[in-house]
Amino acid sequence: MKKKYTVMNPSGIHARPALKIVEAAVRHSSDSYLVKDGASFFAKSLVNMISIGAKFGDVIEVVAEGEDSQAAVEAIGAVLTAEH
Amino acid sequence: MQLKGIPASAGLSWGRAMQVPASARQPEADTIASLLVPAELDRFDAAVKQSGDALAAIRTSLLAHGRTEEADIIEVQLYLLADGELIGKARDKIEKAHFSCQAALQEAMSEALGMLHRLDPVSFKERAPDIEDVIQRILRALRGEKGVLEEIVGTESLILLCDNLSPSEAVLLDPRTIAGVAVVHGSATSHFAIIARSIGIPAVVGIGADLRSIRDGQTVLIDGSNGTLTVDPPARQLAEDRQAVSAAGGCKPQGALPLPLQTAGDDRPLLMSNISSVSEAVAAQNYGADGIGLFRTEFLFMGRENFPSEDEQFEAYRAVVSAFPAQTPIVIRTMDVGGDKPLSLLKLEEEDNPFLGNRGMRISLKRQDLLRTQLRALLRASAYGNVKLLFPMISTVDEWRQATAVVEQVQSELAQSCIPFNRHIERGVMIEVPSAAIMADRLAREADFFSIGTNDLIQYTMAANRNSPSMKELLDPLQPALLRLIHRIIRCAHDLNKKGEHMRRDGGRDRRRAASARHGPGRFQRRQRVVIVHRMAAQPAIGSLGQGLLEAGGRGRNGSGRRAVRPPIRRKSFSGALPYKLLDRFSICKSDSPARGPALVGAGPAGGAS
Repeated sequence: MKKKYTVMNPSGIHARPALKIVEAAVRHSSDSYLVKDGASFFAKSLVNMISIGAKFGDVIEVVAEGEDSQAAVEAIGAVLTAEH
Repeated sequence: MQLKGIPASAGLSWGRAMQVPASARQPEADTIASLLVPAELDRFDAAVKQSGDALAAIRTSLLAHGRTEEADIIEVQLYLLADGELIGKARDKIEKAHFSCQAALQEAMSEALGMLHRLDPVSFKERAPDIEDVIQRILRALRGEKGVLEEIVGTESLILLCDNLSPSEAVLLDPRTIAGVAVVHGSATSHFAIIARSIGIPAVVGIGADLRSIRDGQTVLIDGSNGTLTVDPPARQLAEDRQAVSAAGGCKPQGALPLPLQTAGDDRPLLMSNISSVSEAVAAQNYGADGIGLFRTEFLFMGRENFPSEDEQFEAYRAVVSAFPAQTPIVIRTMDVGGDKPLSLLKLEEEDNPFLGNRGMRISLKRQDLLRTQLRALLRASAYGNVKLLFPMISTVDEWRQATAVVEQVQSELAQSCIPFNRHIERGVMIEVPSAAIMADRLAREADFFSIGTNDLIQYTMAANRNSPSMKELLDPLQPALLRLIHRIIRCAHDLNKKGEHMRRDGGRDRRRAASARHGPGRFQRRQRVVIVHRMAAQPAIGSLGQGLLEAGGRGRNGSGRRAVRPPIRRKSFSGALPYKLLDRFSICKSDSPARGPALVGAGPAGGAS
């Protein structure tokens, strides 16, 4: 399961959204990754999520594998496309 | 002995020195025998669990006291502690590469910091302390050490002397035990400094290695407003300071000023507070402030993941305005970030020298979307009181015109939507760049008031980094070059007042002539140029300069060309009876008369950046 999202938060993926992505990822058993410019980042790691440095308008692919992969991807996608 | 550092949290207090030794890396083997790996893993897991329990307890306690911002700092650390890419990797290194706990943690930390620095250098500055803090906590748990503040028992007033204080340690500062904190490194914008300010503990940072020469138990007088530390102060000085503090009801004075601010003549300078939050406005009003000399709105933008909306900003500005009676001057400065106040939200490019880069108005003019939102909120708030707009870091007349053009556009948008605002809102320039001081005569023709940011004006004029302890002498506010510049700024403002120059809203002659023709010169309101000087006049060390400024500001203000000779401010009302902490939180302005609003000079805002 993979899907592309555009970052809609005007300030990009920063401290608070990074934490929200980790929260969303750890709620699911599937492991999920964010792929940006060919590099992939583990969504259950806060260190990874604060390092991703995604800005408003960046396109990020969310990839997950496992039983609840679709739900995991959508939960993370919701954070990426949230405007706040 | 007196040591000088950077003021980080205003206030005056004293106590016994307590040196907190730096946590050094223990001499410990980097790798261990494979036989010992299971035991090492147990040790590791126990230390991680102990750290997690401690952090969770701190977080619960902070939340119980309503300190949600500080609780958020701890929450981030709890997530880092559960992070497989940080702590999990460290564990792997023990398990697979037979690293010792200490080596594994340090290796995992440098990998994480390296990645963060490579991929997102902007958030590196903000987040790196959290990562280091978590790793240090586990290392301490492994050694059976407690945190700096957990080991302190008893109620004695202590002045803590340390290399640095991490965020998770700083939230534990207890004003009942800790009278002040002095730090070898650090900046006025670190987590620690912000927390010290919020709980009212005086703090001085960036003192340098000399701090380590103080012995445990020596009496130390800390002045977080001037950034000084006096070791074994003379008994007389201590007694005077004690009296000063108790005269205002202790370190956290409540209620009105002990004496009205009054010169020996009939002059009544305005004493206005410099604030960075709504709650400080309320406190300032309680202290009897005559208004707000500077509202640093950038603090509304910091430590959050999105920009505050127009409505949110409007509510904040209106709350500040509403804390005071209707005609009270409230000077609100537009967002002033950059330099020593990075804003990760903006994702600015990292610069070699941020003080000479994107800062203040330079950012606002590039991000006019943000500027417009802020101006809309400010103008809407101007319907509720005497709001004055102030633009920071203006270097050229052109920048000023660009800024005021945006104000006018926003004003016409609001007018079209029938949203109320003050059409005659005053607009001022913060003069903190030498080029603006040199062009002060031109700026004075267009601006309604000047506000002198002496901190930056000193550092740019003297080419001396204001955060560098070794530049102390160059940063002396009595440097003749600086005095000349300030004199020029004040003279430029008052020269125009003397001539009775009409205020110009448009910066152009034609519109002014047209306006005069329409209304007749008598109808066109004459304005006094106002000068507000930040940070200087109230400091006892430069009291004479403060008087000089007040006198300079008094000249020729009345439009008649008569040179009013101002009697010196009665010192008692300035510094004798007031605790420095209180003085340091205010700007002082002089006014023609209370009814006509302020007409000049001010002093000493709160510690930290202006």
